[in-house]
Amino acid sequence: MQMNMVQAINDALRLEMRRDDRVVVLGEDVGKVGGVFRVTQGLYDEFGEERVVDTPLSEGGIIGCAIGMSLYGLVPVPEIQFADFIFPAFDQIVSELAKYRYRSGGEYAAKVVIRTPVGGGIRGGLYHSQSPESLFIHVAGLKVVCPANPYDAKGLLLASIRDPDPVLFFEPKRIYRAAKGDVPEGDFTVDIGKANVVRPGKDVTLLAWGAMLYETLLAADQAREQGIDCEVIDLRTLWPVDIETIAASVKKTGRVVAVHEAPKTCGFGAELMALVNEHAFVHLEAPPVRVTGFDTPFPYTLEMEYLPLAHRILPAIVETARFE
Amino acid sequence: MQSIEAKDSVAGAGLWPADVERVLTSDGRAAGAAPVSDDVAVAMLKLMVLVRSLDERMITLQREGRIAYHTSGLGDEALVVAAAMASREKDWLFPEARHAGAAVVRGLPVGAYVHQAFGNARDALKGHASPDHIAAPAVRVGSVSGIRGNHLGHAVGAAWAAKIRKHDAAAVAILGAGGLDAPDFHNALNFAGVAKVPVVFLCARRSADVDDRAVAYGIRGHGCDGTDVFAVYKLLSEALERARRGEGATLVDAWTQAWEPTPAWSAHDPIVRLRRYLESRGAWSESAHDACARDVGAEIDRAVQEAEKAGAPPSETLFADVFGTMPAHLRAQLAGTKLHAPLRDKTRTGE
Repeated sequence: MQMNMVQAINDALRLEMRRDDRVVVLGEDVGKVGGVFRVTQGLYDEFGEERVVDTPLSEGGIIGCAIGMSLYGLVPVPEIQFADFIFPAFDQIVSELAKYRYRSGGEYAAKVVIRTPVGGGIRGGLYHSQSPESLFIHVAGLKVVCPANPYDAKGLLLASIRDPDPVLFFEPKRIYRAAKGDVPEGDFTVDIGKANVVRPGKDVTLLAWGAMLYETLLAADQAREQGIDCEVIDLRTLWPVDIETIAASVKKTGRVVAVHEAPKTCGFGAELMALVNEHAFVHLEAPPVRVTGFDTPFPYTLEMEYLPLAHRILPAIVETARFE
Repeated sequence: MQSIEAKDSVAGAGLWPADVERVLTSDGRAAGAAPVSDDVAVAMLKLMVLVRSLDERMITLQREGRIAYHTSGLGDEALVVAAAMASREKDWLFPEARHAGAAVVRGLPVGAYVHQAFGNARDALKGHASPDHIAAPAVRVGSVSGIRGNHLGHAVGAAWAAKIRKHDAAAVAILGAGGLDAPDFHNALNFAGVAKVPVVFLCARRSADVDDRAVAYGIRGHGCDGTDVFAVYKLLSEALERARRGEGATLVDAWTQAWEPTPAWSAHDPIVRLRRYLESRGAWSESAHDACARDVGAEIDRAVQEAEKAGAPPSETLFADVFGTMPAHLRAQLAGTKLHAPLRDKTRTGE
């Protein structure tokens, strides 16, 4: 069935809430309004106010409560309305959620899936456009997932809810409706920790996720016109990242470009470069390259100059491909 | 319950508000009906002695360098015992480090508590956390956080879950006065009030900087003499009853006096107060108290001996429990340490 990402995520939530009555959705405007992007639409009518909870406007309160609910035995799927607002919850996520299993020696597991829209290109400005993945990847105990198409969105969300560990489920808002595809109506999962080689190729490995996957594919199309055959990999899971797939690709191509919206310095691209060096250095024919957002806050007016769109990815591909 | 005046010599030297509730007077008479039978009161006394003795022993062990750290709750024994006993088995308890003794009162073995303080090979927490940062799912005591106030939200969430599932269960969070200032204090009480969650917040108070925080959050607020275990127990029991009836949350301020190593402090000592009451009723005696102290001391001695024999947890435990299943990148890091082990053991000194 053709779905966009909003529909696919909604479908996953509905399916899982029917299948498992421990699943509870909570967040700002998720209930009666159905979510500001309508991702939770219809759930309140079907499951009621006790399982689809409109919370006060406090991300720290939402996540603190979600942790307590998970200890009791519920499966909470809280929403942070925009990832830019996640910082009041940063303490609960980093100090509590990420460490609960470890600091209790495995006696407890705090199991929460935090859904939140990420990314720019929607004229959202400083506080509706950020991609904070590297801040969370850096914290031991958290899994970080970012699907780029409806099939993966549904399958990965179901996998995330069933995974025993805390998961940050990042939803690239720019393609909430633009990304469409065929999605099975029933129950299926996509494995966490497995990247997807969207387009095989032999000359340059391109690593991307979220909305920038499509810019990367566009740049790959343009590169092909110049005789460069790119292998495009959608990471899908940011952490734990599928280093095997990445390394196998880089060993084949010898050249790699990583693309992400988040600012360059200490963005996840930096970790990818380090991992590529550790796993495939002797196979490299060119320095690994990152095409990223700039080290600035996310701008309002000039966001299309900030974002690493195809017109910035293409020169990086060409330079890497031609490097000797 | 009797109201006491601020100028009462035991009323925290004028630092407490004017009207805190009390059952036992300072010389151990019951001004109202005792909330429990003599048998239960004797159990309370023994448990307060255990909590106190554990606390004192941990202080000594820290001074001697045999454990690295201890967060003391001396003087708060009435809160700890009342919270653990007024709540039922199916209720959840979320203390902070200074009140970790609440888990022992609930049923966490003394040995387990001491192993955790040593972070040794027999620690259920694998030496992952500092002393007093216990976790005890078997007795529904949440993992103690190192960040002041963060556990309050967890208590709200657990209680909220019970409400959603229509279970007859509630949660109690215990906090020290510092927890009132924590950012999550606001979040927890706000959510508890808005969602009418069956949670009770029990706060060890010292000075009345602000009298009534509960009113701001639309929850009930009550104050009691925190050195009177009957008063704390009574207020908690009432609050939990209200919570279970769907009447929402309560903030109980239990006024205590910070422990001092002076004879005058015994006027604030919850153990002395309850002991006087029980002795006046013939339910306790000096010899009974001596026997209790001896037994508790011996139990702690044994636990410390066992703990010191156990040694450190194996190196691999450093990597355990980050995730449910160890992922490849951690397996690789663990494998890497095995290469370093011979060199590390050679260069390690003084161990």
